[in-house]
Amino acid sequence: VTDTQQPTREERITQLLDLVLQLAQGNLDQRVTPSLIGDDIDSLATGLNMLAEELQASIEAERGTRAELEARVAERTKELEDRLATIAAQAATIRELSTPVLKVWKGVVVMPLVGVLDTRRAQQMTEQLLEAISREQAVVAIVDITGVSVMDTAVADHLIESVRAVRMLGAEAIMTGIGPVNAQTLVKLRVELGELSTAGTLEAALRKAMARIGAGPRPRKR
Amino acid sequence: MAEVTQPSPPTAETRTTVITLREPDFVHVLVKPGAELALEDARENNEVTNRLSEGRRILVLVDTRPARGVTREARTYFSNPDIRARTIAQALLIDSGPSRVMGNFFIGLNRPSFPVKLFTSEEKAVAWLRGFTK
Repeated sequence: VTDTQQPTREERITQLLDLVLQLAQGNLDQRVTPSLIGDDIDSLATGLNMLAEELQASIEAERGTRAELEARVAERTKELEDRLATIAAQAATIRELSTPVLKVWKGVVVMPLVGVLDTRRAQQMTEQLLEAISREQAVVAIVDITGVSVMDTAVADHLIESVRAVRMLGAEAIMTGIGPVNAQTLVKLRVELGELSTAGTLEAALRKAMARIGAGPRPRKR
Repeated sequence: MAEVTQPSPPTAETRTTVITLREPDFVHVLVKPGAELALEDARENNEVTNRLSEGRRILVLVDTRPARGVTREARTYFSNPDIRARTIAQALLIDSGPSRVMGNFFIGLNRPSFPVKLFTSEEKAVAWLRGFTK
């Protein structure tokens, strides 16, 4: 570089101002070439170049971090969605299995209940039972609660409501398998025995149902 | 890189510097006029310094006054763990020009974990470095 090619002081300051303007506009890859003079203007040029480098590196690092975070969030979200889908599918299966309705004879359906009966499950039980009665044109619906360990008053109340709903469909509900604890719960609700048909065992309930539909065992010929 | 064979002191020249082993634990690095140090230059200078000092821990005096610039990558490299482990202390000779800005950026932003100080006097810089081996 010869002296005649060196820019004037004013030109060098203009270059610095142009650089500042470019940096302010976000063009962080812009640089200025310091002269070989090594004066204050070159110091400023060097400082601005290094500042631009730092800003550029900082922004790129931030972008990288953000992209990494977004990718991780997307990955976790996908994992959670997959898990939720699995849980939902399992819950649906469990719901179906927890309140099965079996057609044991023409016009007779049985709903054996096992486990803890909460309000939600009791409501689901009612829906499935009514749907099965309607579908199978059942005349008798036996609800076997032998496997229900504990039932609170709200659930017992719901069961009674279910029995009433069964009657509304023109069918009869027989409840069987009522243990001592559940019997006391029903008593607390002051359920009239008249409105609740019961049987001591499932066998007794089936006999009662057969008698109701007139399909009892025929006497053997002698 | 062309190594200059001299009886004493051992000296090597890189694209951007002239490196001299003044004493077994003292290396002087002179940046060439108008040199702009990039990452490759930093690596080359480091390798040459290691070779001259034969892996010993050293005091380093860098005369940055003739330098025109140093990239961020090169500054980052100069504070890497290998150089930290090798360097007892480093003095940077600066003037009122761009070298002052470069030196302050290096200390302020790269924060090397070994002792580093800026000097305008070589005599004071050498005295400060010597204080680490007394």
